[in-house]
Amino acid sequence: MILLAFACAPDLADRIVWDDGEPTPPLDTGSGPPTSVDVSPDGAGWRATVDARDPELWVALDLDVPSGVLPETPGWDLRFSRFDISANGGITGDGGVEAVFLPEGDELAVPTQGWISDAPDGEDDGDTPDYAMSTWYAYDSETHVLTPHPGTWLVRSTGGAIFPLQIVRYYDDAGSSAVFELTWGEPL
Amino acid sequence: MLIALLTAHAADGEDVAEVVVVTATRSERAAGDQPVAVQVIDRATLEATGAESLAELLQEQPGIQIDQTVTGASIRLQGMEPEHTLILIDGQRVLGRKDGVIDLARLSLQDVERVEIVKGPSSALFGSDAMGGVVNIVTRRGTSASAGTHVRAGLPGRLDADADATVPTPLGVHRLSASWHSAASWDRDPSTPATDSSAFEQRSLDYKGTFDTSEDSELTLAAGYQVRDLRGLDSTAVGAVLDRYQTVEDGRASIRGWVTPTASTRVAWSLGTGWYRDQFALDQRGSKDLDQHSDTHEANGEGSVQVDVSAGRHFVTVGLDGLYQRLRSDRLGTGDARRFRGAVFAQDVWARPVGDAELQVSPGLRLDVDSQFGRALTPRVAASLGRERAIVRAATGLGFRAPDFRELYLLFENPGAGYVVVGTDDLRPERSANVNGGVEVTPVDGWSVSVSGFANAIRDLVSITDLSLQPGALQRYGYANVGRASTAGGELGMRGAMGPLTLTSTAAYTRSRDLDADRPLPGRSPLIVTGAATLDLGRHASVRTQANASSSRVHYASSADGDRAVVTPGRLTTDVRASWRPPAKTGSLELFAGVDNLLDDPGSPGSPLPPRFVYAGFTTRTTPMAP
Repeated sequence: MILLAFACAPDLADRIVWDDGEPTPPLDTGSGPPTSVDVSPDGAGWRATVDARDPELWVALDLDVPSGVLPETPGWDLRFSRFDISANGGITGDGGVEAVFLPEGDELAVPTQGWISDAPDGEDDGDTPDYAMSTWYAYDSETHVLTPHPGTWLVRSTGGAIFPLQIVRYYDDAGSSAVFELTWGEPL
Repeated sequence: MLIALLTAHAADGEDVAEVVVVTATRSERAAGDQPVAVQVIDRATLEATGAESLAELLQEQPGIQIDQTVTGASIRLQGMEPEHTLILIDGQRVLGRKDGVIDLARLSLQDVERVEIVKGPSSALFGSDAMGGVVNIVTRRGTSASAGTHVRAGLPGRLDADADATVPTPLGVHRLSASWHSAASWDRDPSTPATDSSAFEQRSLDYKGTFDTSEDSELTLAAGYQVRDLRGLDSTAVGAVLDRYQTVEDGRASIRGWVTPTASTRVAWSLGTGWYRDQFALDQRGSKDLDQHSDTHEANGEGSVQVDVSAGRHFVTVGLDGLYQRLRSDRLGTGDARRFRGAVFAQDVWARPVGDAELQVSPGLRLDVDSQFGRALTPRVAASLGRERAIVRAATGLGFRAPDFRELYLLFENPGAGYVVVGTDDLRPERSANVNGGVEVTPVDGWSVSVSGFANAIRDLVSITDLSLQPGALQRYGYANVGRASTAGGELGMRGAMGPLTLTSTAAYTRSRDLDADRPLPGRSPLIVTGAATLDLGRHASVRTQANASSSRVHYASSADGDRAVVTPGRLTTDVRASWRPPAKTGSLELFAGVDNLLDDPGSPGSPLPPRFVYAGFTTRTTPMAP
């Protein structure tokens, strides 16, 4: 009993110097990780990093401007939250945004059919709306890794332009998920 | 009553038929006098193996599969899951199962007198978890004044040291021991930053006091505390690197005693408490998205009263057990879970001569009543027929495992990895039925052969099921009583001595099936062969070598197209150890050196083996000169 009375190791969380060098409480993420969009020129087009790690927030992108915008800003085209990508059209907004996917190898031409906008939840097991770009990834149930399908999305923006857009990756250099890297070129 | 037969052996070397064991019938009886087969690893055998932890020790034993998993070193008996083996220390449950695994690497051996292993269901005596068998660690007790030290150092970086002292006083005999162990991490897969094992530092302090209040009674107090700090690296498929920290604390205290009010009656009682805390943290490098921290507190209280009555040809045991369990964890949906279980058990060992042999028949029955799942009734019938050079045993019984708190109440979300696991609060116990039998023969002095077989049918297995509402989105897993499985197999063993050479060899075959998926259960090696040879070199020196070979095993990788079978190769481990015990006037000294995993077999990706390990050390025992 005496042994047990003295037996107690200090709290592990207090002994760890967390990665940023500060003893940050690991479970207290405050208002959540920073969410932002960083757009820069990429050849004749654009490259954006979209930080969509906060599941409570949408992070929006205006392809026409181009820049990150608040979701309530008129003219936004795509918005991101975790792995969900929603478009400003259909049930989501009145921007008329719709998308179609061209698998890798297909000719980069504007199809007349196959355009999809955000729609109500269809006949599947979930209750999430059927977003226009909900099929953007392949899921590995063994590693839980989401990988973008190889190919190009054509996105008809609120400005009426059709942008060829590619989802380059979903993870940042530190291995964090929901940090999209996107590229898109001049309108077709 | 006693059948003085060579019916139980230390796994390597000494005949231990006369060793008094408790696990087979919950009463102290000679190992050779048990209607149920019990495998005993006594202190001398344990020291000869050079093992420092229970995982290292059992790795070498026949018919036992030890694997290095992400939650520690796990055990399989008779092809069953790790959670189907009950681990006891002096009859008290060891806490700290994580994903069904009690990490046997944290159970060090400096205080172990012997290890008793009963394969096959023992729920009729011990209740939950004992579906595949029981491993009972019996700790050392002080007898006369002595002090001992033990040091082992080896490469890659490992140091083990312990010391103990026994002090007899008019009030009783007190034994105090302390140990310190440390090891570097190791990694078999350089393609990822992750380590296969964690570096650790472990410290422990234990006390045991035995008080002979009279010739007809005894009182034992025991307490111990151990802390184990681990550190390793994890990585993900998309390149995240995470520092892994873990601190595991384990405390125990018990008071137990017995009295013999009459020559034929013995009353034993015990009260014990255990406490376990597991602090775990992941620190993602360059981000805090995947940072995790969990703090799990587990506690239990156990009480038991048992009466043994010897009446003519009958040896009757009746008793009551009580168990209180509590788990506090931020990974439980309820945050805090507790339950109580009471049990009554009875067993008779009836013996009568049959010609020049002795027949023993032992029916037993136990009823557990649990505040969560209700009742579980587990009978067992065992019988043996033995004569001077042979014994035949057979038994059949039922076993059960209560669903654990994590399976009942877990709420763990890992959005970074994309999954959620939730508990199911109305799970039923897993159930099993078993038949087993065996023959042991001693054709000539010094040689023995044994053959045994078993079959288990398991139902209501608690399995993870995919509860995902949206395929491909955040995966949602839960638990359900959906599984059915079977295992069957046999063991062939041989032991013999030729002059200075002692040989042991066993082969164990296990066939396991997932009856729902109609395929072998994953992670089992169907064939395990062990062999050991000890050569007495004279002049107090000896050399021992042992080998353990296991066949390939299958795992299943899930994919969108269904499960894909992945076969991992078999393995061969070979250990060599030499020791020298120079004569000493008082006490003893042993100098030793050895190599573990001499061939440096890497194991398999799912269950890697530690790299070749070279070590040396000494063991001392000092006793005071007689006045």
